[in-house]
Amino acid sequence: MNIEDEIKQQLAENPIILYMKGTPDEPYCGFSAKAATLLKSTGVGFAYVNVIESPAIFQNLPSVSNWPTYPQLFIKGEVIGGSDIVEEMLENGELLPMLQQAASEAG
Amino acid sequence: MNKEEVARKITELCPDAVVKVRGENCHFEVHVVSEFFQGKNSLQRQQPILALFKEELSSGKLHALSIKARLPGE
Repeated sequence: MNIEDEIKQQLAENPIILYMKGTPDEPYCGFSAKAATLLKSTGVGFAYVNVIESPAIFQNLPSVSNWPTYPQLFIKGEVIGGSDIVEEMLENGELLPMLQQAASEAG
Repeated sequence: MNKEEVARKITELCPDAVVKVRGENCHFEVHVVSEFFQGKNSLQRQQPILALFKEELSSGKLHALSIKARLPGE
C-alpha cells in the first residue's frame, strides 16, 4: 500500500483525526499543542498521528490535503485546517456540532 | 525569510490587501485585509495564502504562519 492510500485509509477509519507534531500529551510545537488542547477541551474523542514519527506521512499529507503546515485537523475525511481555524470555529460554535456529529456517526 | 518578503508575496496575490506581518525568522503572524476573501470561509481564505509559501514551509525555512484573513470592515 503506498503512503497516500495509507493516509486515505486513516482518514476513512477515523472520523476525527489530528495530524500533529508530537502527541496531545507531549506536543513538540505551540500550534500542535494549541489544537490538541482545544480538541481535548471539547470532550469529544479524537485520533491523532505524530507526524514527527511518521516522516512519510509528514512529507505526503500536504499534497493529499492541500494544506502545507501542521497541525491538520480532519473531520470525516475533510481537512478543517490548522490551529487558528480550529480555535476560530470553536469560538464561533461551528466546530463542536461537527465533532459531535462525526463521533456519533462512528457509532 | 523576512517580513517584507512575506508581505510582498501576499500583495502579489491580493493587490488591494493591507498586510501586517509580525514575528521573526521562521514564525510569522500575518494580518491580511482584502476583498479577495469575499464569500470565502476560513479554510478558503487561508489555503491560497499558505500555498504561496509552500516551498518555504516544506523546506522548513518557514516554520509556521498564523493567518488572520479579514474583509475590509470585518
